[in-house]
Amino acid sequence: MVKKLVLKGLLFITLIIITFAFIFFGITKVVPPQFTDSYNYMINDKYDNLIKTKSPKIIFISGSSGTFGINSEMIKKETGIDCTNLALHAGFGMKFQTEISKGNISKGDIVVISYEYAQWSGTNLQAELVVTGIDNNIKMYKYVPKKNYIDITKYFPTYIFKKLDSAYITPMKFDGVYSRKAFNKRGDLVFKRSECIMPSPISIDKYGKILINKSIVSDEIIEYVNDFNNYVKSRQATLLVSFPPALKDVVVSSKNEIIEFQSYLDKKLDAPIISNAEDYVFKREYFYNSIYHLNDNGELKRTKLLTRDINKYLATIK
Amino acid sequence: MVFNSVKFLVFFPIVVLAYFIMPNKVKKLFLLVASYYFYMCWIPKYVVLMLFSTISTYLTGFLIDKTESPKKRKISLAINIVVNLGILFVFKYFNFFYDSIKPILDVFNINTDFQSSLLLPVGISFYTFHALGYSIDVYRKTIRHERNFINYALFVSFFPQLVAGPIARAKDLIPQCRENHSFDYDRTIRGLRLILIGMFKKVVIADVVAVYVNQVFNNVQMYTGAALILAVFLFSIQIYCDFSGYTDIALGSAEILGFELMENFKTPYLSTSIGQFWSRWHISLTSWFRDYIYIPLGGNRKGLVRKYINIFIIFCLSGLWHGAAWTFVIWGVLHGLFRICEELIKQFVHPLEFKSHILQKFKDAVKIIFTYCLVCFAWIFFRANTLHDALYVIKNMFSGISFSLLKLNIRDAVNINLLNSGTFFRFYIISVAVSIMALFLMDIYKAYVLHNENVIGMFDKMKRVNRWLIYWSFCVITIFYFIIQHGIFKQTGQFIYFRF
Repeated sequence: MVKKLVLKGLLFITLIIITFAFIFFGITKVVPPQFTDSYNYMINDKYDNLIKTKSPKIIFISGSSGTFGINSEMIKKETGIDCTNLALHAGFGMKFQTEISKGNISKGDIVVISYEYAQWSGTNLQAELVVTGIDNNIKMYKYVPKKNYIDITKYFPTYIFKKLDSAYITPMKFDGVYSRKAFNKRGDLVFKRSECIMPSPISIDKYGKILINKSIVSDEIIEYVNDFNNYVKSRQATLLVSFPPALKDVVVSSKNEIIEFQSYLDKKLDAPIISNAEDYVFKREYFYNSIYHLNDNGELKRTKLLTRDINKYLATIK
Repeated sequence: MVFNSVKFLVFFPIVVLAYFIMPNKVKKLFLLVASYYFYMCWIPKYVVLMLFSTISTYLTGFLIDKTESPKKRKISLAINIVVNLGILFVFKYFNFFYDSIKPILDVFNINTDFQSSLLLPVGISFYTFHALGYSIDVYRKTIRHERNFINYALFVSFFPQLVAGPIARAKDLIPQCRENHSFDYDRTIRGLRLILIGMFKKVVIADVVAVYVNQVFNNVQMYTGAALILAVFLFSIQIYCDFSGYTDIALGSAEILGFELMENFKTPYLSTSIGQFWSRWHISLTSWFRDYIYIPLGGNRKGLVRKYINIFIIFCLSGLWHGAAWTFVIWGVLHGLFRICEELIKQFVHPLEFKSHILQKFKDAVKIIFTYCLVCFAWIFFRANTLHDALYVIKNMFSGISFSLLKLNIRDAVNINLLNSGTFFRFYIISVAVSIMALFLMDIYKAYVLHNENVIGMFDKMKRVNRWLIYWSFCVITIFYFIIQHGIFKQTGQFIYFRF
């Protein structure tokens, strides 16, 4: 009788799992994709670029400071190595963004991570960004960290209703800088950002502050980055660490704290740090609409700095 | 740990598996430990109160049983009652009592500040009544004192019924606690069916209509007319499904473990009178008050006037038992008055009888609707956050009834919780309507076909395909709404009666 109960139970559970699998595939594959014009959906284009780009290549990983601050064409020209920019949004969680790079890391590649400073404390994945960003491209779910499965599950009904609304009631529209149209085929943001549109003086309450201090660094992230470094090495590639641009007006740490932060990371991380954090603290004139987002001039400046750092590193190892 | 949580879905199968494979001599102890662990998942330190109540009533039973002296027996019982009700008073009623007398103290310029910051321990009203019922039964010699402390402690703390009933009677549950139970296939299937129905009632009906009910009752001033009527109606559904859903899960869990608990609901909203309603709603509490307070007060044996006074006292106490607030007391008083009016009508008005079967059925239908309306009216006080809100609802629920305004009000009330999504709104309305209809049909079937026998019996009469279809659909929609609960509504899903 116990056997009968167990068998019936397993059969029933299987039926339920199949039902939810149908719902999942029905919504993701049968209902036409609705978020393809969104900023988040760019994660798929960037991933496709990664797969298509031949080695040796530079793979750049960051949050939106990398979207709003890297010109991959310029990096390719200045370093002589093709570059694919995976940076999109810190809300994807740096683990997810870093994991997708594993789609194509090969011999001779250089992987550069440049996490926003808050991400060193722990990376929180925003399920909305991931689920709407992936939309119908379900193979990308394999890169979602296991600990975020519950967040993704909890968000999924919202995704179902939003998608059905867009497909059958009022289609969603995406425009401006936060849309797929703002990017070129290389995955670089080409939306015109000629000046800073934030008010002066900047309100820390509204825009946030940037703390660059060794106290923000979590052991969990250090362990993750070191594990990732081992993976990159196993692929006969190199992992390098750089820093994001930071708006000077909202950096609340002293010069000594920044130096201490950098030395602390240097000590803890197995991968080399190729940049000086202080070099990337820029004035307001280089920024666009947030404390990490650069305008066109800022992007140029930051890309030049990063190229310099990469070339300097390449020269030392030759 | 609540029944509708992932933690319980992990806890329960482990407990069941371990219980059935454990050697007989440690089974009861294991179940006791599991019950204490279940309770400690809330605020662990409050387990001391439950342990204290258990030990004090156990010792009382021992002392009462040991002596034949009526005076000593009475004193032991009295001390035990004072101690246990004292704990209840301190944790549950102190602030209510203090806030009520403070205006009087202020009149006499007595300035005091004795507000208690103690939290209400979960289930205190339930396990206290378990324990008190036991000691009164021993005093009355209805049962002998249970010498085995493990058996007795298990009776008080048995986790399926610990935090929200049913309030078990010692003569029914203690013998079951003495036995070691083994796995039974049919019992397990019955238990699983009950759990599924209970989860459906709670997750798909109670918590879903709560989205609208909470929005209206927490912001009553924004609503009038049909919106308020709908909120009252939906609250009657919410509390029924919440509480009976809990009971179904409790009964189902106990059944799987081999225990039989008493049914707590027998289609109460199909009652033809308030008296019948109270014989079908929260049956374990009503019968507890009847046996341990109403009858000792004299019941209906000391004349009509005394009978009505006793009825009134019982309902006031019932209101107070439910919550330490005047709204609950008024709710209880209303039911008391309804009940007394019914008795008076029965006493002095000849009932209308029809020879025609159809007319008789029509008369019953009118009585059912009228009783339901009275119950809903009283629910206004039960649910309203303040007396002022309750009076606002009553004053405004019949003003400006307009169905177009109602549709707008429903949208406004729920849209923010439904992501302003047209698809979700339609899904919400359809699922609420279909679920309430399913509930109504189930209760009709239970009342008129099964004659209030357990509705689980209806599954045995079905073809296997139909049975599995029902299991499958209930399960899928329950899981889907469970995810919505946590991902969209962001509700805790706590049962209403946990607050008592």
